[in-house]
Amino acid sequence: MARYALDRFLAAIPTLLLLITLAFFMIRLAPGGPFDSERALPPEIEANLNHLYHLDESLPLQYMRYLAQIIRMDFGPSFQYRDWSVNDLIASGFPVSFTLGVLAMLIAIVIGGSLGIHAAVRQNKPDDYATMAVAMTGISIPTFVLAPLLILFFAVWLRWLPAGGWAWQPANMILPIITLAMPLVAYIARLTRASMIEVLRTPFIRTAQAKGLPQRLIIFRHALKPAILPVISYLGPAGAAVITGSVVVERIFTIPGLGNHFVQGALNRDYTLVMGVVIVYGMLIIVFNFVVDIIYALLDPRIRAQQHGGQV
Amino acid sequence: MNQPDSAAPLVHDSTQPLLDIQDLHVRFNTPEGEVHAVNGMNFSIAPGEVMAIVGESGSGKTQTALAIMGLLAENGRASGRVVYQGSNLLEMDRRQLNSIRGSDIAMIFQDPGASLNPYLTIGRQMTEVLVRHRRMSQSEANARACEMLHQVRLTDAEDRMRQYPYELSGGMQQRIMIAMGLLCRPRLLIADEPTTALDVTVQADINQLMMDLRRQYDTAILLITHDLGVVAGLADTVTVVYAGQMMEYAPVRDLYYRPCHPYSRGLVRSVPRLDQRADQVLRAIPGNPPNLLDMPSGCPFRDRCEFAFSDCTAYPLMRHSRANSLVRCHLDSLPE
Amino acid sequence: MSSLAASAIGGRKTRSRSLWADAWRRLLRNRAAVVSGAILMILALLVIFGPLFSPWDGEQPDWDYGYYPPSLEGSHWFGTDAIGRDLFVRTLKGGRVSLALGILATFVSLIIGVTYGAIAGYYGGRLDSLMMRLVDILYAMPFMFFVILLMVFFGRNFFLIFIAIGAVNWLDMARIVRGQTLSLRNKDFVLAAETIGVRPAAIIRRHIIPNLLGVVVVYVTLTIPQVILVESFMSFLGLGVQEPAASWGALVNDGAQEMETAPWSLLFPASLLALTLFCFNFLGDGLRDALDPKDHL
Repeated sequence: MARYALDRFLAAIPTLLLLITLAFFMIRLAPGGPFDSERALPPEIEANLNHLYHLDESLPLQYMRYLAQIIRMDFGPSFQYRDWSVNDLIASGFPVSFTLGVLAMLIAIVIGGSLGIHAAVRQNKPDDYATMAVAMTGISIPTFVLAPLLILFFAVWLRWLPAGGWAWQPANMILPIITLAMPLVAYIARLTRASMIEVLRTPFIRTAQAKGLPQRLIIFRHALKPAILPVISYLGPAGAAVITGSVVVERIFTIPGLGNHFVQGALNRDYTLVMGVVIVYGMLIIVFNFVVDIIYALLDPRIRAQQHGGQV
Repeated sequence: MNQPDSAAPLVHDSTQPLLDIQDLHVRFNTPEGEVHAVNGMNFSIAPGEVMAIVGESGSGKTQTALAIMGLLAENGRASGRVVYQGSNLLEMDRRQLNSIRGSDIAMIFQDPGASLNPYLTIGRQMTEVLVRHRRMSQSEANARACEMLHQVRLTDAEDRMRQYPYELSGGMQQRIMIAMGLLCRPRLLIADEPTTALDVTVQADINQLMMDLRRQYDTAILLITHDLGVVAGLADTVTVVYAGQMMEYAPVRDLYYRPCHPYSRGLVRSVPRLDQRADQVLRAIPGNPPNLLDMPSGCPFRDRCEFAFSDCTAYPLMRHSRANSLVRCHLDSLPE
Repeated sequence: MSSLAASAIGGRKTRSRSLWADAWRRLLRNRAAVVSGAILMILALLVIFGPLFSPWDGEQPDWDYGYYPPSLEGSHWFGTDAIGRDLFVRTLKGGRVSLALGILATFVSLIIGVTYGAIAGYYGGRLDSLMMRLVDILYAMPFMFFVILLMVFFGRNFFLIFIAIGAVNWLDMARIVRGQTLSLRNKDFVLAAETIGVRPAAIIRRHIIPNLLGVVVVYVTLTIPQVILVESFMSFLGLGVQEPAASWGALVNDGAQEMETAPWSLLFPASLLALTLFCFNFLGDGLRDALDPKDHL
């Protein structure tokens, strides 16, 4: 198991390298220098600024410098917020986005998984159709339509919850989390249902039935593990989807998270900030995929065994 | 009463049958129409008897077994009666059925590799039967399961308990299936092609094992197979099925040496035997079984039967061919 | 021997024909899929020809008629937006943009994905593991954000948008096609073609790709709604198509900001958008079930 984890960890390195390289050249691609927006800087000041940010060095040198900087987890100063470093901005936004994302994810897994199992067990019955119709709706309604509707209903009409803003308290988290979780719930429910139905048709489930085990035990002990494996693999892309969704959610609910920083940064051409956020996102996805791989291996004895040098 | 080597029990023995199947039908609703997989099975199994159901693939033998166990696919429906200890298994709800399945009646399947749960240890899969049906504690169940693994002649039983199915060979997996089936000392073991997926060298071992255990446990066995060669050494009685219907029922020796149905004889003659001369041709039965979606009236075998005559357009009823044999054929005796 | 071969070939022919016929029959029995297909057809016609029936062009502002509510008499059937543009025409023209974008971007990802996946799956071995390794790596890239940045740097550009979306979406396709190719690779008819010396490119074209059709059809149906969603996401960020042109995403985004004063400006585009996504997803599900007999006993 430890070797497997190490393997997976080493496999993430090229991914990380590609991410940083892409980010670096993306900045280089950007038309004009980062200080073009400042009106008519005197040439000597611009030269100074370029020198300060090492923009006057050769490209490979800049790349190495950037790499070394990222490895130290230093994203440099923000071009727009002069008193802030990108690290400060990320440090302020990350906990907010991370909390929302993780909670949304957990809720989506629990609710989506239960709905999917329920639908699979009652396949082709009214419950199943109802659940799947709701799930389909969840997939078909864009987040930025759902969020204003939720605000209209719960904040404007019922006045139960705030329409936006941020504080570390449940009232401010509920609507953003629902919005983030909704498409995931729908997707996970569909995925779980499909794989559960497939598993329930396997010979080993028939064996379990022939042994006279109660339905509950068959579902939870015999079928759940194999049925959940595709859902586990989906968690990687789901993580990415949550990150993308957080951009919308944080803008609509005016939440000071990473997504908001990203959009602001992009609009202000604050390249260092934007790149910092993208790299953090990329790292998150990589870490997330790593964790998913490990969970997968823990659930599947065959993958686990490959590392013991056992038979395959 | 349950001596395996004595003459086979009669069809309607005065002793109470262990399992009595009356007019069993199995139908499947498919997009193409209703498939008549099993059409009026009537047989009973006495305690301790080994009965074989023999037929080609698609003849309904597996569906018969699954119907008994209440394991038909979603779109399948069984009608008729399957009487066990005075009650009809087909009318039981899942809870009642679950108290019998795995406890009184156990089943093992064709492909042991696919029939064992790949995500659970052998120990877990075995002991859960005892915990469920015998209310044993986990440690009691462990001990009993271990003992059972010894009895199916697996070495290192304690280690096996901690292993996963993929770590074992097909033969070992089937031994485990058998051990699992016998854990609760069932009165009937249904074995659906238990050796078909295994190497030839392993097949004989598994068959021998089943027979040994059957004597030891006094368990009746319903053996489902397409291989008459297997039947010869194991069964007391044989039911030959074709297109979901019983064609012949007879003690195994009679069926072998004096089959009464043309189809049975075709099956017997298609088995290669060592005492056969090399120049003697193995005879295949020409043609294909009828379409189960659209069953012809009359004898289902008549299109393939070399003796078919005008009467065969009428459906033949099951009749006694000998004192303890039944046949579904209009011919009084088979021409040579 | 020759008669055996002939019957085998005959068998294949009838089988493959009935495979598609079977799939078609299964699809027709799936009411949700059939209804979805019909609705999509109607929507396509409506989007293409609908604007012709309205006296408005949807681009000319009419300052006196801002936020005019929907009515059947005034010929502003869906009402107007803040600056008095007719929403019926705008919504349908937006639909053209969204659908066209969805189809174009899906096509881009289709071409890349099928080529990549078929090559990896066909050649297998080290090339395959290398190519799939690359796909794995690309999977972990937050491409959406790179796309956003491209938009910011180079301005919004219809062409760029769908190239970018297509370039992001091909990964799934490549994986699916590769898996299918890998299993087709070992089929007898491919081995036979190889034995008689047909070149790999010809085998891929003649034997592999036609047999991938089923997967591809399903994938296309499920990708189009994804692309439409991505486009609407870009529009939400103000990076979608440019005024005065609109897409459903852009209209929904405008409408969402006015939903208390002019709910119709959200209702119509949002319903059409959701309906389209809904139908594509149902149709895709139906196609998958129909083409994958595994789920049908």
